[in-house]
Amino acid sequence: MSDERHFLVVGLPGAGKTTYLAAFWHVAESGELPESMRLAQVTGDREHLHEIRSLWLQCKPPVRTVTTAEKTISMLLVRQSPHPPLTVCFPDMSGESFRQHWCERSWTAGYDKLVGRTSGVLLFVHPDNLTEPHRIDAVEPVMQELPADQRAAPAPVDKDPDLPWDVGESPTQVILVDTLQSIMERAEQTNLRTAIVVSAWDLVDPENLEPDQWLARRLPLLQQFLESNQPTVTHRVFGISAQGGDFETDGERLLRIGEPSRRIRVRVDGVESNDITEPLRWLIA
Amino acid sequence: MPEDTIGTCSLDGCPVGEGGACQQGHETLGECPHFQPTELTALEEEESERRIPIHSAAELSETDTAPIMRSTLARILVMAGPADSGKTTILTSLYELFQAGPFAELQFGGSRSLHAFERRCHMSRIASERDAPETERTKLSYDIEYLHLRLRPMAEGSRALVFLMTDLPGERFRLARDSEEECKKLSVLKRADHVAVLLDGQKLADLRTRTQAFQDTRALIRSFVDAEMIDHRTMLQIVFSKWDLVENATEIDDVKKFVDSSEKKLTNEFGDRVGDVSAFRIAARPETTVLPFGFGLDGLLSHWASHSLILAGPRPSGRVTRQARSEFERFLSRPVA
Repeated sequence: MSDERHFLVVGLPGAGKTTYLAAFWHVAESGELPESMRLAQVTGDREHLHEIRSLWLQCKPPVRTVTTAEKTISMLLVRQSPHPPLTVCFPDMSGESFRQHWCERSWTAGYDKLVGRTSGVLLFVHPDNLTEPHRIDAVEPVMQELPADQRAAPAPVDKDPDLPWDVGESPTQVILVDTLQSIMERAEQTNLRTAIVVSAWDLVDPENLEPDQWLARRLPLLQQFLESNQPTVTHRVFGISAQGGDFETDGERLLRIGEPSRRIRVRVDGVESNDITEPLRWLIA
Repeated sequence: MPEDTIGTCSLDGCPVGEGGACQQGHETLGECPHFQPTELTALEEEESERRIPIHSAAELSETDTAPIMRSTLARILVMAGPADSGKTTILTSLYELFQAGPFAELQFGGSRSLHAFERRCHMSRIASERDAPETERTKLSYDIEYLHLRLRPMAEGSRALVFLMTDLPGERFRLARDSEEECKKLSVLKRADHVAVLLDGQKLADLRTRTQAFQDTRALIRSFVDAEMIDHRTMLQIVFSKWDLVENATEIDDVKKFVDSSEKKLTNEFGDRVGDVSAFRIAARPETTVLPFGFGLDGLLSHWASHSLILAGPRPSGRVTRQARSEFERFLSRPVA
């Protein structure tokens, strides 16, 4: 008999959820990494898993998940003794669904059920896909210091000054705080474990930041929210490059790595590994 | 879930009926002779797609605040003052400061009004495509609505603080200044921990308008007091807003003398009618770089966070406290245990 746990996989469009799932499935199914969790059985849409894994193996970007194609995938995972096997259920939801929750202030009864029984959250963010709250007064002094030919051209006289507020263009950190707040209100867990996954970690690497430092620098509102809501929410930040590098510029090098699992890079608390199952192992600990 | 993964199994103990794996080891459940798929009916699919509301993320109504008031020690803050005095800008600037990191030794802990804050911030952000930041004028409404903000002091072991802040249009305060009946409609004043009354720094910097600005503020506070909407449980703040315009005034010494005198007069006149009077000089969103963004807001927020006569207990005697300008002055002004 296995222990069954349900986890929410959360993130806005382009946050890296599907690439993670593809790499995760490969690592768990291939057995290339002895230390990782191993797949014993999968139920759900395996055609979808095959497709995204195939693209990942060929170093091709994944197809964006659309709302009409959302599926729940269940995996029976084997862990090291004495732990029993674990059935893990991931709804593979499109990022647009989470943006819809933020904009329309409702979610489906099906999703509500998933939230009600969730054991934890995997929340994805992509360093290149962040909307940040840039104030005019903060940018203007910088613009004034630029040479005249590098400043933005003045607006035409007849330009409509009123670009109305678009709720969908709100800062990423605000939407993610709201997402977690809403989950916390509905979830039945009194201590909700939340693994923050910073995708495409290879892009952040040159900044010499640990994942939690990156979060404090680029998503400070989210970081404060997580810190100040302990112990209701316990969090850990993982930097993960599920691709291992840029498929366009680095594809050939990645393809030449004998065991594709070895392309993956995972960084947490100053330690690097290839084991993409680490966030899940922390969630179930 | 796909139809071929939902169903029951006739074998005893097989977990398939609860969504688990096939006991016989079949990867495709349909291949197992014991598996009986359940057809999802159209009704079940429709039920799964039914929309369930989550909290609106807009301003909170009085009804919305009731469960918050019951379950937390929420502090009610009323921003009062004429139109364009900077009430909304103070609230948005506080929110924007937390977007950049912890502020005034406090961490952002959440808000049920995120849409409301975001909408108010829009006209001061690059996304609005404006050349200069602005704040949308608060629309006239007779409903009292609140912005919700949860903050947690960074000191270890501290409890979270919940703030319910009003953002009322200046027109309501003009009416309240002139009419006891209108003043009494501002029922939130009676429950407010803090009432911050704004004097517009732009008007104070102008010789033609400064006296009228002071008298209007004095009349407004008098209206609150005479209508018994504020009393010895209320902590009153005199907020001199747009302080960057005062600093940029051509006769800056005269302006500052006038401001100091105004502070003294208001403190003397109302100090024994309310629980506490303090004064703050604020430039929530300066028009120039002479002062930093959010100048003075750390002191104001710290004051709101660390004091509440309503939450502290029974009515204290009237006590006057001018804005402490140093740690030593703050130490001297603390009540003796």
